[in-house]
Amino acid sequence: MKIAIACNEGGHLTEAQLLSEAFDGHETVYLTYDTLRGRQLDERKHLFRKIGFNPLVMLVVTLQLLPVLLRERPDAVVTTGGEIAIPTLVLAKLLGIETVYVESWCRIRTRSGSGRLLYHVADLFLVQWPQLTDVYGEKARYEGALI
Amino acid sequence: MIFATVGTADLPFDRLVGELDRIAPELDHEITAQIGVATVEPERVEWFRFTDEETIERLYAEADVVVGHAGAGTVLTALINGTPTVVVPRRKELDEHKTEHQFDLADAIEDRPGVFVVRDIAALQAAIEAADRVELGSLERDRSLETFLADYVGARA
Repeated sequence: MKIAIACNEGGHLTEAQLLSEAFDGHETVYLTYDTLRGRQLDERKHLFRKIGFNPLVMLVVTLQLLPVLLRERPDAVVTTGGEIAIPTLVLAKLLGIETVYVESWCRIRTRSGSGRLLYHVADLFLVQWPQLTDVYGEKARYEGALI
Repeated sequence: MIFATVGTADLPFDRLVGELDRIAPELDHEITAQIGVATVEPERVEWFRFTDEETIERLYAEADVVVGHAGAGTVLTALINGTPTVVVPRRKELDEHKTEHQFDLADAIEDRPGVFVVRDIAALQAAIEAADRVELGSLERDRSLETFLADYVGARA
């Protein structure tokens, strides 16, 4: 099985790498930002320009993600968030690919921007602190945390 | 060895870098600081802005104490390595971060073994000294999230 792991840089990438233990035995491909750490990632990967809050870059990255998802044809896309999760999960959803959103471990009482949007999109929406399920709603599940 | 890190965020954390530099002579340790985009350049500690993954991993592994901003990546890496960690939340009003949510993380983990939260930077030295006195075993992790995800993905995809 092939799992695409989409994540921003920094803590999002750290969480993704820790979580990827869940996919031992499967093929994984990372979709993340073109940073020093992204480039040094010793995994199959596709690197994109940082979107931040720039709608034009969001559009460009979306247009770049589409052929990547079509070529890779993952069985599922799992994200630990950041804004790169937005175009990735939306496209994956449109392509009929299973989508999993894992809210960051640092989100305890408040929702992240990408979480707020993708709550309505993801097939599975996980939070890492039980109190956050009430803030998000019924669909949010707490099934444990990285630590 | 004390490893201090402000993470890869775009906003400077001069408050931490400056205070660390100020108290460095009082600390009984070699200090290495990853200062990111800080506008102050330390004079009393070894420092760099960003570096490669291998170096970062080695610094975390060798550190007796980690001093970090309250970022998920930093705190997870330090605690999983079993290193006592001084956690300094970035403040939004000081333009150290876009939101206040680093305080939420600090509040939530403050009672965990080996975690020392510094809200007033004047308390940094005492926190580092307290962290230095702690011996942590390796962190026990129940892996329930990973197990759940493995089962979920395995069943559906």
